[in-house]
Amino acid sequence: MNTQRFWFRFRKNRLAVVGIFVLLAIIALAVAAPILAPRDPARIDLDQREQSPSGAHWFGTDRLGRDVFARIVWGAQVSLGVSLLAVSLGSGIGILLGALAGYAGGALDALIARAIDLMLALPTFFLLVAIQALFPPNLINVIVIIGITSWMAIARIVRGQFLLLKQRDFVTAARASGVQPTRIIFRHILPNVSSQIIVFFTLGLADAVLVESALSFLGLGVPPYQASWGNMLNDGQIGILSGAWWVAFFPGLLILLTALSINLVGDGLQESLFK
Amino acid sequence: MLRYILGRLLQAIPLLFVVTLTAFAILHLAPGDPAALLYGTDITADQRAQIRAAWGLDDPIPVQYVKWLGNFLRGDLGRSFSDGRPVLQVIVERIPATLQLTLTGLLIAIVLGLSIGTLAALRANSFIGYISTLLSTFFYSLPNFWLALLLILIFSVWLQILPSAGIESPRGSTGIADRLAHLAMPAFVISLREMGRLIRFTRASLLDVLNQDYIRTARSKGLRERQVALRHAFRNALIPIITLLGLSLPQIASSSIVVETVFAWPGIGRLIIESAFQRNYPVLMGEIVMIGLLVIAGNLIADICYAFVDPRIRYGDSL
Repeated sequence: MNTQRFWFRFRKNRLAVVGIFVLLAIIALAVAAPILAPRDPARIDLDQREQSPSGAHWFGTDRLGRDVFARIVWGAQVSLGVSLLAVSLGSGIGILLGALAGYAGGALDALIARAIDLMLALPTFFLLVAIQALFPPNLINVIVIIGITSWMAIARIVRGQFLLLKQRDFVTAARASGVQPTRIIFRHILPNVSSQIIVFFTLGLADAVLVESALSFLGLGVPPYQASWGNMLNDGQIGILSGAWWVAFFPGLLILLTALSINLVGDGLQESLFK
Repeated sequence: MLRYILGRLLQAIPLLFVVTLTAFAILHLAPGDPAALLYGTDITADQRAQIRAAWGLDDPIPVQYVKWLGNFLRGDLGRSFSDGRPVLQVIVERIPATLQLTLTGLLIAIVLGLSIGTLAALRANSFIGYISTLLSTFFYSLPNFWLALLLILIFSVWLQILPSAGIESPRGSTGIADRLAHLAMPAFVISLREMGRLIRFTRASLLDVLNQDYIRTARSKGLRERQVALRHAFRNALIPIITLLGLSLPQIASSSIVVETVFAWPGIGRLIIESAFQRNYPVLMGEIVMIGLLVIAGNLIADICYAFVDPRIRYGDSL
């Protein structure tokens, strides 16, 4: 589908357009962190503990007197970055396995298809939690663990498309003229699956944001000394009972806005690309 | 039908084997000595070596796995490292709390999800349809731990009408009303994500069916719209929805970890975090087996429901 037609259809989905703008605003927040919040997000100020939102501290301060707004802005880098890398890893695995299964067929396909079904049936969050509790928390672990438990949706869709596309004439022609299988997979067939991949990548990103923050909330994700939205919620838990609602409210709101806007964009993409 | 169920159960055995083998390998490759974690500096190096030997931690990992598997097949899951009680007992006493939470949550999700989803499909191009779709995405994007904290803030801290933690009052349960008051917030929180999925899926599935020829036939026979939707369309739309429900069980079990943590609910979800931090291998393995069985049961129930909804499966043709 050409770009113009795509934009024409995408624009008709008002919610998706709103989603794009919210998402861009959040990304801008993360990128412009040094300008927006020159205050050090880790700076402790015990005289300023649990201050409610005011002109000096827009979103208030937490129980160590750290500025919640600064932590949100800097935490956006961590939360978005971790999710993006995790989904990239997951999509990479998914595309590779899906393409391999769909193109090769036979026993390999049967094996990969079973693995997909198995992983989909498992409560992966249980595994995430158990594994994360066993290993010391660091950023790489979180990215890898979310990546290797989130490849199934893409693998399934890519496999399905490859099963269909490999029987088309252009593939037969390529094979007959002696093109290498890896080149057929990546250069001839894969580009035809790109719309599906984009949609599932987007929807996977929303999930990853939620999973990352849930893990950090449990103290099992991003290391506690680093500001991330999930970690801030973990900190804010205690404040809730004493009435310091702002410590947990704002980071949670950002998680919701991010996941919601990504999901809306994903739905919009799905609609304008496939219907 | 019985044959079909038995076949399904037989297929589950290799699955359970693979899952336990992988889990065992990961657990024992992780750093951290359970004896050191549990007793810290309270014991000497000698005593620690004794404890490790008693727990069988000095054997090579494959030997440990074979021993574990042998005991498991004889129905013995071992004893918890932390208090020496049988693992089966430790886990079984936590199950009712988790079941109560997840099944209530699932029920809320099914009832509201199917109703809103059906409404969204029948009024697809109206304001109601639009709002339902947005609502589904909203529920699906809502971080449940955050919602849990907000609800505690509103209902426990500000309004003080619902308890913020636990399964019953610390002084002991004062009857069903007390239980329900403790259950309300956690069950609602745990239901939302599945509700979001169900609304969207029911809508899509029903819209799909409503465009079929036999629906047009039913309408042209002059049947009332309500009858067409509920008698003809809904039943067929249920088939893919049941698949989703089979997948819902592990999902909602996953949410239980977070929800149980926030609401201090004494269930399996919290047990898994506690035992992972303690490197309590026997309890962790027991939990993994239990989760495996849960998943198998979930899929089996979905399969049986299929057979009830769709007679073609029951009589073994077509599939």
